This record gives sequence, structure tokens and C-alpha cells, in this order.
Amino acid sequence: MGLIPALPMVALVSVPAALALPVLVVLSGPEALVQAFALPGYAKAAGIAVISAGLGTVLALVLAVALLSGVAGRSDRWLRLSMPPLLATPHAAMAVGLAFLIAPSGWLIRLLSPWATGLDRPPLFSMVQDPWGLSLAVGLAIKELPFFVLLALSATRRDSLQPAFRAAISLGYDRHTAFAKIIAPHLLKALNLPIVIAFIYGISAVDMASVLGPTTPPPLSVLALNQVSDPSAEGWRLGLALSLHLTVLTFAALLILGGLVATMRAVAGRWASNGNRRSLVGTALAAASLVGRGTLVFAVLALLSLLLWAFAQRWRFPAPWPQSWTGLDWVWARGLMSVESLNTLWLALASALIGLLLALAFVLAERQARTVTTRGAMAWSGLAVLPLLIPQMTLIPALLLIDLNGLRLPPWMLALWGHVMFTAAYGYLTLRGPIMALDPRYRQVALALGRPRWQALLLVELPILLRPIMASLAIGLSVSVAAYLSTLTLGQGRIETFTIEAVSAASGGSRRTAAQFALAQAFWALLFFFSALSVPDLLYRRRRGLAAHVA
Amino acid sequence: MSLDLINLSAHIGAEPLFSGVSQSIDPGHILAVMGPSGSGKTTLLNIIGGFAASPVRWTGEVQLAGRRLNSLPPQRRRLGLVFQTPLLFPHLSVGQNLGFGMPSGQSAVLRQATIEQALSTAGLTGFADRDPESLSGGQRARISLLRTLLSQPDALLLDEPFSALDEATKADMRAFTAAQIRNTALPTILVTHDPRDAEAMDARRFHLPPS
Repeated sequence: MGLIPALPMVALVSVPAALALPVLVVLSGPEALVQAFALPGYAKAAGIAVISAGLGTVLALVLAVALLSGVAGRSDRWLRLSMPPLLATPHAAMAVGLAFLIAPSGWLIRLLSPWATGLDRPPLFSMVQDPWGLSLAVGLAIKELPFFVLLALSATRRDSLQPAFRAAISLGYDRHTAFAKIIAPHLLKALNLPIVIAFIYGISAVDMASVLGPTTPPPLSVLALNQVSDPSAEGWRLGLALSLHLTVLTFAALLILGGLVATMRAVAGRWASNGNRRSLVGTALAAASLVGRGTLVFAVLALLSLLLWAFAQRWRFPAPWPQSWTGLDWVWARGLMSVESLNTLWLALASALIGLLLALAFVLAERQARTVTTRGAMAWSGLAVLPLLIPQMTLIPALLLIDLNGLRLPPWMLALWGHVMFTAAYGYLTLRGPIMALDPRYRQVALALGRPRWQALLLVELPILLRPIMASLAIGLSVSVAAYLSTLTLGQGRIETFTIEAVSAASGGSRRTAAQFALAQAFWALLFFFSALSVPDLLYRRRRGLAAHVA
Repeated sequence: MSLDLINLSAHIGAEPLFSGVSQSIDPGHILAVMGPSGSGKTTLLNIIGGFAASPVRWTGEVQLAGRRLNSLPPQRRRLGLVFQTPLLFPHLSVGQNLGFGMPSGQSAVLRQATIEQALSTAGLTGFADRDPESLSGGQRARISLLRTLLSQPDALLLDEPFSALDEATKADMRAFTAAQIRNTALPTILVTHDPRDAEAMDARRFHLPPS
């Protein structure tokens, strides 16, 4: 046994991710790397990428901390229940919904017109695709918010922070100041890796960027994607060079972000002990907590607008509701029994299952290795989440090139591989904590009762871990349903999924089609997600020792 | 069928923990291993049970009924292990927990009868279908001990089995455990920091020195 179970994950996930940068460096060449600087709009594209991803991450972080501050010491039930659906909603569907909400002729302006705005035709200014990617930042923030909140929730519960918080309150601190001084520093520490992952995801999220981001120039990731699709060898090399630029830019931005956080932490320590019971930060958190709640309402409105547009037949401008509705036939033809749904479903099921198995075997090997040093633990984690630490716009083209230069897998297999890299990495992130935290004596009891090792694992440990295992499967399923770049590029245009169709219809201007595909995508993602989560509830109805506690 | 510890010594990394421990426990007798925390009580149990792993290194020999256990994996040592917490498997019912410990090969009817019989000795008749989480602390401790006994071990290792219980339940559980040990005639090692455990169960005391 030993380390062997870790090998499939290393071979299929870590090694190709590690090869991505060298492959791109070799295949783009030094000339293209220099020429890339001279592309029209280069500087602005780079600026937009950093601003939208950076702002989105910071915004999500502030709102997440503020929302948690608002519920500290109170019931956090509504927050725990509202986050998972938001987490499971694919980026593309959220982007399309948001675009239809805030567009000049979107639902928001319709709801306010003409009584509040005086408009009886769509305004000329546009909040979507604004030149600096601010609406993209908002979209990214909405999608990163549940990721941060859920991870932070489990961090606050794990540590003995609640008594410390109550102690601060009884020392006369107002709640938001107490939260900022006592709990927030721990949260930021627990969110280190998630912040990095969210930023890297945001800076290369091509699907959200093509719907919400500016077009002239687009963010660097989209610019790179357009350039990679160039048929000429020269143009195509430039695209690879741009991908590399994106990676360098990402890590430079992360260094700055890390520096900021370190400074903040140093200042925060002094600030925490200055004795002030009330503070501007506390007031700001209180305000941000309201903004956070508003953002959640906004996200729900975006999804509702998706629903309205998918079923709208005729919808005159300032009217708040459509005048006539489509039939239900498209639901069958487009959402359930289409090529897109078939592709989305098999990719999701296969990649989530394979990813789960790889991650599970990997974590079990890590547990058996009994790494005691922090550095050793970081090495294991680093191997597993490597695909999340490299911008997708670098990783995916590199995987395609590795394939074209040797493996020559059929597109469906290559796309599946691409999906598995992400489902396995996220699977590791969700499984590692619960598996390492499982009381080792369950296994010892099973062994001492005379059962062989495989029975201790299969009959005792894995059933006890069923809840985190199914949560990991649920996340894998929704990650795959949401995947855009890996399906598009690795499928070489031959695998049509809801994501692909929704994004292309949204940029093609067909609102109803885009809404229908986006709605179908969100439907399947949510259905998969919650079906997987409900399995333990059904099986363990009568087992309070394994009662639901949200991950 | 005695349990023999022959010249056991242990280190954690370079730190010596204990050395030269030699003890022989006869069937139905109890050895109470006592000592302050950090003296190596649990490490000693882990060595006997086969769960000692790096950074613990040890020398010496463990014999059960003359059989050398040193190189056997835990699942083949035929030692019954009971921890401070009952560690009932939360996904199985009370009856299934007991069944998990029993050797395979008997008919379902016979297994069911054995389980019912065990439950009645603990005063828990009719509890087979219950969720372990619905039991009281004392009830769980009984089921945990019975689960171990049903696996038909050749010796018992008890690791602070009463320390999580309240005073009344503790007295109850000591008597129940002592009776089971007498009935099954198993050589038993009881790790505890409470002298009253040793006293109530008529155990021979052995003090591990502080390191």
C-alpha cells in the first residue's frame, strides 16, 4: 500500500499541471513573448484583468467577513442555508442572469421605469461590459462570496472563537468591532489558500468575462483565448505568450496582495489591543453587512431574471413582466433531451466520480504517510491543488498542446481529463479536513475486533465519512457542469454543453436562447448538487451521530 | 492463557519513555497500569495492541498464551480493545455494532440470538434497533465492552474506560466490567489514573514511573 494510492492523482492531475508552464514557454518562444507587449490594447487588457479579479476577490472577502460579523453569536441558519445554492450555481448562468438584470434594457431598469426613472426607452449608458470590468468584478464577487462564507463558517466553528467573542462583548466592545478584533484575523488566516484560488480563478474566468467583461479591449484572459484561436502559427504563438503573461501577472498581483495582507495583519495586531470599544472598522463592517445582504438579494434577482427571460415570448421595454410566454416545448427539447444536456450530464457524472476516487485515494495515502512537518503537509496539498494555482488560460492550452504533440486522445477523453483535474483538486480540498479529523480509534477498534484493513476502511471509516464524501461529489458535479474553458478548448469545439451554448448565445445577442441554456445549466447543477447532498440524509435518517452539519 | 509482557522498553524519538517492563497477567486477573500523564500508559497499550507507530520505537516481547504477538498485525492479535470513549460506529444500529464484532460464519438466527443475549446481560433488552446516539453514556460504555467481548478476544485492554462517566455510572460500570472479566476469564490490562478503579475491581497495581 503506502504511497501507491496517491499515484493516479499525481500522474493525472499534478504532473500535467506542473508541465503547463514549461510547455508554454517552449512552444511560444522568446520572440512571441516580447511581441505580446505590442498587441493593441495589451496594457489595458492586463489592467482590466487585475482590477476585475482583484476587486472581485476583495469585495467578496469584505462582504463575507461582514455577513459573518452580522450573524456572530446569533443564529446563522439563514446564511448556512442560502450559501450552498449560490455556490452550486454555475458562473456562466450567474453571469447571464446578472447581465439581463443590469443591462440598459434589463429587469432592474424595467422594474424602476417609468415611475422612478422617467424612461420609456432603454437608457444609452450601460452598466454591463463597462470599460474597466467593474460589472465583471461584481459578478466574480457574487460567485466567490459563498465559497468564502462556507469555508469561514467551518473555521469559526472549529476554533474556540465563540467564547472569545462573547468575552469581548462582555468587555464592552460593540459586536462588529469585537468581530473585527477577535474573529476576523483567524478567518483571514483560514482563508489564505481560498483567497489565492479565488483570485487565480477570477483572473482567468473566461466565461464570466465574455458575458460581463468589456470587449475593446477584453480582459487579458479573453484576449489570449481569441489569439490562441488564430489559425496562423504566428498568431497562435502570440496567444500562448499572452497566457504566459497572464500567469506572470497573476503571481505578481498575488505578491502585492500578500504584502497588503501581511501589512494589514501587523497593523491589526496593534489596533486590536488599543482598547477602543467602538471603531470605524466596526461601523464599516455593519454597513458592509447590509451591502452583503443586498448582494444576496441581487443574486436571487439575477437568477429570477434568467427564469423570466427563458419563458418570455414578448416583453415590451418598460413593462416589469413579459406580455406573453413561450410554450413548454423548449424545456424538453433544449433542457432535458438535447445533445447539450447529454454532454453536460455524462461529463459531470464521469468527471465527478473519477475526481472523487482520485482525491479520496490521495488523501488516504497522505493520512497514512503521517506527515508531521508543516512543509510536508504543504507539499501534499500543493501537489493536489496545483491545477487551481495555475490560471486556467495557461493550464488548458498547455494540456491541449501536450495532447497534440503525443497523446492524441479523442476530444471527449481530453475534455474529461480536463474536467477531472478540477473535480479532483476541489475534491481534495473538501475531503482533506474531515478525513484527517476522523478519530483514528474507529479504525483501531475495527482492527482490534479482528477485521482486516480493507473492511475497517470500507465498513467503518468511509460510511462514517459519507457526508463529506457526498459533499465532495456534489462540488465535483457542479464544477464540471460549470466548466467552460476546458470543455471548449479540450473538446476542440466538438463537445457542446449548456455552458458553451449559454455563453455563445449571450455574446451573440439572443437573449431568450442564452437564458434558456443558462437556466438549464443552473437547473442541472443545482439538481446534481442537492441530490448528492441528500444521499446521507436518506441513508442516515435515524442516526443522530451523523446528523447534518453543513461542511 | 496468560498475557505476558517481557522486558518492554519504549522511546519517543530519542526520549526514553519506560524500560524493563515485565508483567504476567493470569486468566481472569486484572493488571492496573497507573501513572501520571506522559508516563507512557497509552503507549504501552498501543505497543501491546499493535498500534505503536513512528515516532515511537520499542523493544521487548509481548506473548499471549505463549504465542509471540510482536510481528502480528492488530487484527490478528485477538486482543479486545476498549477506549475511554465508547466509539460506537455512528452509522450502525446498536445491534449492528455488536454484530460487527462477532466472528462471521454463524447463521443469522444464531447471531441475532447472541446479540439479544448480550443485550440482556447489560439490561438493555430490546435495544438492538436503537441509534447509538440515543443511548446514555453508561449504556454506550456497556455496548462498547460487549462489542469487544463478542469478538471473542483472548485478552482485554481497557484504556481509561471509566474516566468519561459520572460517579454513579462509574461504580456501576466497574462492577459490570469486573463481572464480565470473571465470567470470560480473560487476562486484562486496565490503564487508569484513578486508584479507586484498581481498588473496586480488585486489580494488581503497577506504576509506570514519571519520565
